[in-house]
Amino acid sequence: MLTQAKQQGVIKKNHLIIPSFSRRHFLKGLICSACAPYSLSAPIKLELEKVKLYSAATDHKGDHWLVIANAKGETLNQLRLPSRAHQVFKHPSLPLLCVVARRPGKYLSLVHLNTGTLIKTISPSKGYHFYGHGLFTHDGRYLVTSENHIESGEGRITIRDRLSEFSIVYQYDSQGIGPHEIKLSTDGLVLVVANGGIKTHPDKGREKLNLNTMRPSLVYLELLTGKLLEKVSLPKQLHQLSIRHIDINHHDQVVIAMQYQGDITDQVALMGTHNRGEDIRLLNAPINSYLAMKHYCGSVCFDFSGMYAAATSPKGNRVTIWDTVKGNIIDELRCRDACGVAALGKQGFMVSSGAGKLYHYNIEHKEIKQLLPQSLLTNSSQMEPQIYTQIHSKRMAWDNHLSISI
Amino acid sequence: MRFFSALNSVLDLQINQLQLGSSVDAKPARFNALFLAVCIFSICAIGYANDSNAAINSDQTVHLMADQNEAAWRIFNIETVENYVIPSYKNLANANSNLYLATQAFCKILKSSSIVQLQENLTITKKAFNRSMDAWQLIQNVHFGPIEIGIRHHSIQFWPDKKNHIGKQLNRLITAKNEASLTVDGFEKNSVSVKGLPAVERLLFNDAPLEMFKEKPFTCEVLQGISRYLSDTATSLHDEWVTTMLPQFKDAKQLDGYFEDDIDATTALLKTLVEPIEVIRDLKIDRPLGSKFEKVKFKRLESWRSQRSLTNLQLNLQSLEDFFIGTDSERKGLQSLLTRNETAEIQNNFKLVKNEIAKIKVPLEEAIQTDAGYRTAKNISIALTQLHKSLEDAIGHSGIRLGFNSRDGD
Repeated sequence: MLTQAKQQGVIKKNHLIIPSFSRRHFLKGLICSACAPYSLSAPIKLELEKVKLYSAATDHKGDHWLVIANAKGETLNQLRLPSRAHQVFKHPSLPLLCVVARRPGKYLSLVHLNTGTLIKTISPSKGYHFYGHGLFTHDGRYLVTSENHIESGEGRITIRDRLSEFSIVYQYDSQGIGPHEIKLSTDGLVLVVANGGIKTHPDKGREKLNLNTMRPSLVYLELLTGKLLEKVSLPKQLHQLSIRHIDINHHDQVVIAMQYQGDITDQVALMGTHNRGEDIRLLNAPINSYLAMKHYCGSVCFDFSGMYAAATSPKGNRVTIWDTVKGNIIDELRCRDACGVAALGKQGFMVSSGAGKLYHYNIEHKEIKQLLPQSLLTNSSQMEPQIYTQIHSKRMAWDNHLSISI
Repeated sequence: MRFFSALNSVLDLQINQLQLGSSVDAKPARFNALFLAVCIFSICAIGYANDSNAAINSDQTVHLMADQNEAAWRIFNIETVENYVIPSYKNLANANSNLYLATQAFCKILKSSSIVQLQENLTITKKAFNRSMDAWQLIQNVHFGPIEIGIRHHSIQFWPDKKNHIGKQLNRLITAKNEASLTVDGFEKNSVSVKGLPAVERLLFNDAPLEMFKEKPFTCEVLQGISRYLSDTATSLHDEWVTTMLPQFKDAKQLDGYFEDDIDATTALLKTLVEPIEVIRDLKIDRPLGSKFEKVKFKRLESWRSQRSLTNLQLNLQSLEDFFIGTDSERKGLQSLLTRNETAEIQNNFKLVKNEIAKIKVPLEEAIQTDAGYRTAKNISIALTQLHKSLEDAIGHSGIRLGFNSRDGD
């Protein structure tokens, strides 16, 4: 399996065979935004009408918010946050949202889904900080977060009980440094952790302290005990590929979106999948597709079928679509500062961007369309500049992750 | 959708014809052409409302949001590509082609000529290298489009070279004496670190270049191989901008286009104006300066071997200012879309950086090793921060966000 990974992962140092530019066709562009909403098919429109989005966002003044919006990006509720947040996720049955501060995270807020009001703010225990990700267990009772034990620099998983005012009931080793995104297996008993491998210390801000020795891993832990069930890493020469963001499908296959910390000219794969008991399989893509992702994936998710995954690369302005069964890229699109991505029921994906835009990606037609708020859809040029400016300035930069519910 | 696209391309075609005409004619014709263009936009406004407010901000105190002023930004985009980007690549292609000719001439006489003659030819080749580096410094700020393909930005200039890749790879290439690695196809397979200008600089600017070329004649083959690659690459980049990129700016919304819309195209261009200022500050100044005077490392300067680090800075600033003001006679650079106050502030900040640079009278490599020079270099860094902020603020006021997740992700 190791050889397979070597073959599939592009592991070349400072070395490149250049395809001629003229032989390469331009990336498929984005379709005219203003017309887009009218040409969406009926089932997609239906899905979009029901949908609610949750995301951290930052306005033009640099203030940070939790935003609850409809599919056009029109704000339904918003809550001012003390600092930049990362992931927002919904409770499986209650109208409850959880928003986690970005690393080194100092807070986690629980918010009423329908009103946007703050219910409770939780601080990490002394000597710990959040990494920006978490989840509710399938039964809705426990809140699970990835955290840093600052003194040792080791990753921790903390479990808080909703029925006892979110007090900590379990805490265990994440079996690696820098645990980032976490997911639960279909049966809800196994916690999958992406240990990014990068050591940071709050005193040194976001500086990366161990790039030469980092060793990221994907681990499977028994949820309630923390018992290590399986730990996989990439081949040693890829130790600077940080395993950061993951999603899991109903076959418990994990898709991995990575960030490379090595030389800027190295050619490396950034996407992989993993099944229990196997090695990590790196996904195939033409070298220019990987290069265009600029060594950086921001977010990843499966579609409803679990066959396809969408990944975002804001540094490269790319959205890439992957066939996780065949193990290769099937589409790539240019989309400025795209980062948040979520499955839209059975209708493909939604993508959010730092430019404040929302898009829908249709897997069947392989096309992406921008979704516009009504206020910007009609006669923007006939508006008074001041009024237009007011509306426009409310268009927030959508942060790293997008969550939706239907 | 198709209708609008078609309409747009017709419009653009007309505008281009008008502008082509005007670039030769006197100013009134230009004015008429613009007036006509505005008329055409107005007529089409019924079908395509967004374009009806083609307006510039220079006489205003309040910004029009970029989304609402797309037509004006499109004109800016096309002007910038036609009068700034494409001519700069043309300049690079010419300079690199001359460098290739110079290296060929030098290597041809290597065996037969006297040391004096060789010295003379080496000087000519060094000059040609300097012209190539000059041309590159004027367009180094562009990181998107054709240059992204096959990481050609790094091929042209692999820098900073923190692990001495160039030294190692260049040595390997020279000692292997493999002719196949210097053919057009073979050269592509070499490490990116040995393909570009810093590799040429190492060959031409060392303690005893003539002895080196004489003792290891294959070194001259390598020198020619790199120069040919640089010449071919710059020519391709220019051609690709003309044939593939320019149409994307003329009709940003075309189906299967590179951009989402005009503002997306504007954002890509403006990033090449704003972001390099931070890169210049961080890599070309702050990194060599280190945390304090005792830690200064002049070998971290960009072109320390050829002692042209200061020239590089001057050219970078000149290029960015040209971009800002506009290189055509109408001065339709970014400043034409900003308010007067913003333009004045940014121009003043450009001046402050240039003033600090002008205070350095010896090569930067020497200057930063003196107390006063070190302090001046620190001041350049501070002035660059100020310039960066004023540009970013003004662009932000226009409703254009250069990047959020792309700049600081997790």
